[in-house]
Amino acid sequence: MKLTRRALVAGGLAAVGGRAVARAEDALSAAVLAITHATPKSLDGIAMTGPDGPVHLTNFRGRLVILNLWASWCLPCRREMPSLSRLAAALAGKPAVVLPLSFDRRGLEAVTEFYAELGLTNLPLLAGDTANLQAVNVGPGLPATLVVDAAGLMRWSVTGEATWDDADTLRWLSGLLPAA
Amino acid sequence: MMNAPISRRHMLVACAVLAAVPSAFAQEATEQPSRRFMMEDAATGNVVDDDIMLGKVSLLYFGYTHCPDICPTSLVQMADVMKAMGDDAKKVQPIFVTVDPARDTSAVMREYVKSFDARIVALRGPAPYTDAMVKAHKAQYEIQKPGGDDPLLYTVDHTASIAMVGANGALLKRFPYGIATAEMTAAVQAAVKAIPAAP
Repeated sequence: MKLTRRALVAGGLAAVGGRAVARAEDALSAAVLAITHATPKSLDGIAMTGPDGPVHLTNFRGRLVILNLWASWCLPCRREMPSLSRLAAALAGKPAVVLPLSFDRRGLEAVTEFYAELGLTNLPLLAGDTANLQAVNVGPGLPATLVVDAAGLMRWSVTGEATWDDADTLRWLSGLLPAA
Repeated sequence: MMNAPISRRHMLVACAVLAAVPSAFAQEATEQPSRRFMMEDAATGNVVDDDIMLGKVSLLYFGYTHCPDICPTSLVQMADVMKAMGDDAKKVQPIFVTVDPARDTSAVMREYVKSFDARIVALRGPAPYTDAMVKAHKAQYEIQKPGGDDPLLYTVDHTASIAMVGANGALLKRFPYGIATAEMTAAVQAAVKAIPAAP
């Protein structure tokens, strides 16, 4: 059987994908990468669209929001998403929510495919808008994860790939949960 | 004079000297970014380099004195670890590096760290030197200027974890903000025990 260029590219991507899953466990703890923001910033202007239309950050007042900016074409984003899913599971029932906000040209279709590929079922489908992201000026590059307090203010951020379900990160985020 | 400002010429001369001396951390140079640095010790006004960490376990924190809550909490914790270490504290080098050298003069830094623990070495340097040290230790910071009339009215976003560097210069661990002091102390004690005995 002749090995085509397409097969080689597909094989290469598969190999990269396989390695990427293994490397996800090596990413540093989000807790140690976290950057503190002494001047909290409102992210209410950030545009999000879900399957049923616009979603506003104000809908999540009273909860700690872990807002992950990502894209299905961004390899580090793909690698860290399973740990965000596990984080969402760990935070279930607590006043907190994990919101992955995708920046894909294909919008929610790309997100749906990616979640299905990885078997992720506990994360919301949300698409962002690149021009809006630049307008609200929330940090360079993807992935970036912004930790927004119960009042809607960004208090912490993590730029780049991180592990989101290790003991240090769970303890750190638990300490940020609003009082019951 | 104790509080003489550090000049660019001093830095450049010291840099040339440092470059000619084999680094204690050279063994990891091929795998990790160099962690050599050169900064002003706010207590003396002297230029110091990574030799102050040599043979000790160092706790390194990047922050600034106008930091409203995270930095004081972290420095209190650093001081608590030093107290808990007892005699072994002399094998630990706590370091506070300002990411805001414009406002954090040596006099400000000196007084600031004293209020936590006089053993904390306060380092400051010109922005490029600070940037190099921050980058080498995989930390980040960014000045947030809100605009307005007062150019000195700003805050700095910065990595909140405390880095622990081993006696050989290897970055051993980063303690996240909010970690229990007992847990941090135990890790520092273990690192101190692992310091090779002097020949």
